[in-house]
Amino acid sequence: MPSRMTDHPNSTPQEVTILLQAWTEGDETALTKLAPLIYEEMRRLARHYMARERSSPTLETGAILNEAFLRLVHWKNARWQNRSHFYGLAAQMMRRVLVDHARSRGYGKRGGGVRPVALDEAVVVSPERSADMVALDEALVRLATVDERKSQVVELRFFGGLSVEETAEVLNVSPFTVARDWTLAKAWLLRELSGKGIVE
Amino acid sequence: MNSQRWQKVEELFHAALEQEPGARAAYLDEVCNGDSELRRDVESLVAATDSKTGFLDRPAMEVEARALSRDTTGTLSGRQFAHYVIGPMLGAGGMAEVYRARDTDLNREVALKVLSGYSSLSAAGFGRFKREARLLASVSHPNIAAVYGFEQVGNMCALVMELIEGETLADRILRKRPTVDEALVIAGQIAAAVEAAHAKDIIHRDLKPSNIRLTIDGTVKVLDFGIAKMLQPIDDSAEHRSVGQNTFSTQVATIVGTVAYMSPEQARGWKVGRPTDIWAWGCVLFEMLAGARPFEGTVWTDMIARIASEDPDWSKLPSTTPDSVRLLLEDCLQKDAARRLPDIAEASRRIKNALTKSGTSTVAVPASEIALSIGSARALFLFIQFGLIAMYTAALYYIEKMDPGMSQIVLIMAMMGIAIRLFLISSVALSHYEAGRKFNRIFPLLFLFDGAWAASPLLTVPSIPFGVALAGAAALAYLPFSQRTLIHRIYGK
Repeated sequence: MPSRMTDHPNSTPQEVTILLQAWTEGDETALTKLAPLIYEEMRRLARHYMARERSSPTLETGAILNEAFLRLVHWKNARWQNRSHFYGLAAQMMRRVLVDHARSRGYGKRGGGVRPVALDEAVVVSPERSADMVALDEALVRLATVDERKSQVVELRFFGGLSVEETAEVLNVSPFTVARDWTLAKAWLLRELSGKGIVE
Repeated sequence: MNSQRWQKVEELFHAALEQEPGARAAYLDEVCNGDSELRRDVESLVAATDSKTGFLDRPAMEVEARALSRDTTGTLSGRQFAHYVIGPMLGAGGMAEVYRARDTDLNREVALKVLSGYSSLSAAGFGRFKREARLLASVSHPNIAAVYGFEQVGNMCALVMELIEGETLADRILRKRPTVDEALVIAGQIAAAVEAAHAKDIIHRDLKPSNIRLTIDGTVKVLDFGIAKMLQPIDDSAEHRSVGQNTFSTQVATIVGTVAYMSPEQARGWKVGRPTDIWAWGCVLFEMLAGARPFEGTVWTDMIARIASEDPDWSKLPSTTPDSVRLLLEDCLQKDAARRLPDIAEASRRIKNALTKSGTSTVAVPASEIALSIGSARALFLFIQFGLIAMYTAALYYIEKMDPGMSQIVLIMAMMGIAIRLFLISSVALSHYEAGRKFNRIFPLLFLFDGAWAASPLLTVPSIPFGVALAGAAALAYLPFSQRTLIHRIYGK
């Protein structure tokens, strides 16, 4: 039964827009106020998406971030840079929401342990198993230390559900670059998850 | 790993991928020039792209949703709410979930739109929700899905609505684009619905093909009139707030998800009104005729930009579109709401004229693909179960004539078969909402079981001609699939 949640974040589109603007201009304190608002919204959207998906799995995930943007930001006043900042942050928050979700799903079922998967077993890396989502998140942290942009591409594409074009717009690179980054990042992560990384 | 080395790995990785798979090893030998660590690094990455695994191909959200889908916690199916027994979920939108339900007082099937926990309403919002529900319930029109009433138990509230079965217009357009005449007839009925609502000052706000259903008897039903407004979480008593020189509305929440049918004024967050519905109606008619939306874009910002400033691609309309209809569409898709067609009744009139002119005013609305109502599907399913029980009984009757080994097998199978059939009969006849899911689970067993009967010793009884036996075997082998089809029709997949 849906429980009555503490009400909708009492943020107005203006408030988020102003925070976003401040953050874009380099005010890091704005980010500390903005992140929880967006995290909350992502959690709400994820829940709704999952309820919807259960009945008719036809929705484009990409629409989720657009939906959040329309809800939270007074987009007419928002500038282009604000938008990419927003998408970047929203994808990051969505990653946190989904990984937390997978983690909580894993507790009690299998103790949340993470084990490496073999390459040919990789089909199961994507679906269903909570440990894999958590392992992927950890691998992504490692990828960020090697090449930050590639981890951002994965964050935007996989967690944010953005298309190659949209990702390119957010990162301000060409779609071609995004496609190349995506191929390499996937290979890198798959190798990392398969436990067959290079023996140093 | 230092960045220079990583750059090298990256470069070689992409270069190797461009080589034919067979030539990659030789290529890497050459370019790595004896640096075996580099070679291993690149090679292992290339190997990881080769596996056709679909790794990360589906967005994370979908992966999580799928993982959850087996888990029914959180849905209301099977519960009792006021005097309704809640059935399977039919769909869910941003703010509410829709269930099929049985009204045990009036003994009829309805659709329940339950507000989800997140859209918890303030006292004022709640009052408004109630007022809107009353207003919607006052509209009665054959082309509008009726709102019967409103229920509230504790902090849960739901709108009780007419249950409409049949495919959505969106599905219909995907499956088979309507002909020009069919499209005009459908558009005419949608216009009639909008006209009836506008007469009561109700604006749809979210008219789109997925909100329109074509029923079994060929009537067009428009769903969710005014729902967008009701489900707004923010009190819109101050619909327009001024910030500096910009006027914007707080209705941002309601425009989500359906950017494609959004009018320019809606996209700008300005006040919505009758012209908004007329615009959306034009978009729907355009889509039926052209098979494509008038405004498309890969990125939603593009789409909004097109809606605000570009003309639709009129050449997408089929050449058989009458000029009067082209003109009508141009009038409906005027960017400036003030210059748009003033009244939906005008659209109805012009559609009627176009149909009279083409001499096809009697074209029937193409009926929904789903020809079998749920009731008939249930009856047919039960009939099959009784038929199978009759067959098992017949087998038991002949059992003495079979050789002992065979008769043992037939006896066991008939007993198991009767048990399974009785279970299916009781769950479907009593409309147990878990029956659909349970059926999916026992389907492999059923498949084996019914398949075994296809080679049934019954059919080898000498008194049955070979041809009949063959036909019987084919029919039996097909049975599990037809039963599954019926169950899916009754309970959804």
